Amino acid sequence: MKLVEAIADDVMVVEAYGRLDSTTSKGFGDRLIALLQGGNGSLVVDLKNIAYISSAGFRALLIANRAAAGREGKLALCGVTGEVRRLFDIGGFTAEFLIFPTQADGIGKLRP
Amino acid sequence: MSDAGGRARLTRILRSTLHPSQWLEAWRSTRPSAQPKKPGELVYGIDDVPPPLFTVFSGFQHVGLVRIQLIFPALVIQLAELPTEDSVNMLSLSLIALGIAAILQSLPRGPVGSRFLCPPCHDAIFLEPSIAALKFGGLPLVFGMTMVAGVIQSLLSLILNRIRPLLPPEIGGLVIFLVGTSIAAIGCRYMIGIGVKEPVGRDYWLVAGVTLMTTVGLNVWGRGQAKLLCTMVGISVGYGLALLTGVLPKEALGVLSELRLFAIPHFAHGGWAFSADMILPFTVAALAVTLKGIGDITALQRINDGGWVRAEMGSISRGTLANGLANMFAGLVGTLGLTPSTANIGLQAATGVSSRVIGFAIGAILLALAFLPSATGSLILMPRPVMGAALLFSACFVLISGLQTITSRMLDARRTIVIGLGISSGVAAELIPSFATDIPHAIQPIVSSSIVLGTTTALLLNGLFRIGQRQRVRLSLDPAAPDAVAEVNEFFDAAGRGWGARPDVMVRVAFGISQAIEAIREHCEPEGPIVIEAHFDEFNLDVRISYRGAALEFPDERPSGREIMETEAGYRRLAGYMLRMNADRIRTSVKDGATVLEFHFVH
Repeated sequence: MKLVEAIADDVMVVEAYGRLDSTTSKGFGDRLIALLQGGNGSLVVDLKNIAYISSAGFRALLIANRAAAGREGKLALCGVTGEVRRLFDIGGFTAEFLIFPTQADGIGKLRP
Repeated sequence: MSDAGGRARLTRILRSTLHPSQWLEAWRSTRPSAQPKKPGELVYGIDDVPPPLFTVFSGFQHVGLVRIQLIFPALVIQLAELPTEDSVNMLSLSLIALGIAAILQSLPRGPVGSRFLCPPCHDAIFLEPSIAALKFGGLPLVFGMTMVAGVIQSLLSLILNRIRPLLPPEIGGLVIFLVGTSIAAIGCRYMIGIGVKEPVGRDYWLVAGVTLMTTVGLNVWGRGQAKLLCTMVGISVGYGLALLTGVLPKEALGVLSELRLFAIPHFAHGGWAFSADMILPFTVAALAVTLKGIGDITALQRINDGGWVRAEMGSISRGTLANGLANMFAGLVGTLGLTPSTANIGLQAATGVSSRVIGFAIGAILLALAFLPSATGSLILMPRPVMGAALLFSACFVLISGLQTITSRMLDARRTIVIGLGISSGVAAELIPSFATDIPHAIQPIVSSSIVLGTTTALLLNGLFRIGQRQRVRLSLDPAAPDAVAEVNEFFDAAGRGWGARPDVMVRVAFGISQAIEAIREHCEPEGPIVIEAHFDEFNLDVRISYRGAALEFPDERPSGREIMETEAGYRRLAGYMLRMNADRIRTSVKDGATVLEFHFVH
């Protein structure tokens, strides 16, 4: 799995590529926590290039979401489409995250 | 109405029905059963009743498309060199057969009829066999063999479910595609003026272009009635322009005045004849019509059900029987064979009007026209460029419908070759007609028709390639292997292509099995290999995973976020919950000391 990190309008953005499964989710989750702790507590995670997300991936996202809330920040997701969207829906996670259609929408919402 | 949305929705795919066996009792359903749901883009759905005036106008628009296809019996009539009165009478008999077929298909209950707005038409499938029969034994042989084709199709309808593996959806799509190319080829020839006796010039092409652009323009940018009735308006504009420019000479209208306004069609023709030599081409034609009908009725199911996932075989079998009976009737009264009209189904997708009531209006209009020789005669007068533009417009929707049906399935090398060679041979028959003259007389009727040749090629190859094709596959996995999940994905991708499975179902299967393997590795401490076995038929995809280790739990409710994050049990139960929600049914048991997980996916 690959992570591409950037800052846009003072908002940290992470684009994730590949599969979020039990072998990759630990490193993914740890990196999100590190970015939240190192920045202003807000983060946009773009999942449009994620092909698969298992229960391990959802657990990592839940933990990152709680970490953002703990720092009075926000974790925004975008690019949740197709099969990944279906998995968010069947897992009942759609309402638990702040989800935007595009990266720009997420950045606009989280901009300080 | 979102027309683009409607067509886009048609790209989403189809198939099959839940097999009612031990699953029903032993397995708990985790997904709601799908009920027909009227899509938002439909203005009038199958059970809606439009206003009477709209119903009549819409009926006339459909009849306009059906009447265009009367060029096929008209061509045979020309070859038979019948007197004018007999020619018009035969077209009237065609109209009666078409009217009866339209009503049969729309019947709301009973063992006959698809129960959709499914107008019939004459089309290219029966043309080549009919021309061959005409040369071999005259019109009596055409009528007799049309009845035989009707009997064959009626018998096929009774065993359609059993022989379905031999008639896979992608071959149905191939038939629709070949019909589309055939209609498009005729449309292009007529628009350009190839094969037209009279000199062709600027005015001819102007009429063709204006008719096509009017129809297309109204369909793409039009609103309300203009959009809904685009074909009829386009044809009317074409007729008017043809009269103004002289492409349709005013003197030609004199033919209409010579025809009686009202006349009762007579059924006296030269009788019926039968020939063993003609059984093969007419059997192939009956098979091709059946395959095309499966695709057509499937398309109607998709148009009328927003939650459509699979073909409902009851409606397809009843529709096939209705068409078979209509063909027996057509042969009996003395005309060519009929098929469901793909162009009219394309019209429903384009306009969002799919009410079954319109089927009865179409039947009534067609029956009424059979008693009006002057109205039938006007068809003979329809200018070729107008006819060509209308055919080309409808061919667009037929072609795309065929392509969508072909690509609705995962295709491995075998299926790709079946479809590729089917299309190639069909196109070759269209492009190289001289090919047919150099082969034995007995198989000329097959080789000279693009639809019959393409269908025959695909059916034979499909039958051949089924040899050695496994419906049950097995994979033994080392749980400690780092690439175990990737191996599972490759395994199911290859299996899905071999089976010709629906891509959306295979995506669900791939997720489910990957998630299960992850969960077993993380939570169940497996000893020894994990064995995956999968079995597929057209209706069901069953996967069985067995391993030696702790069982997984499949809870009804998802654990809370806190449980997932803070406890191992919550995390484990999330995996079980997602597996349960992903499959149609799921079960766990212990057999000979091994834990067995069984997943059922409706296909």
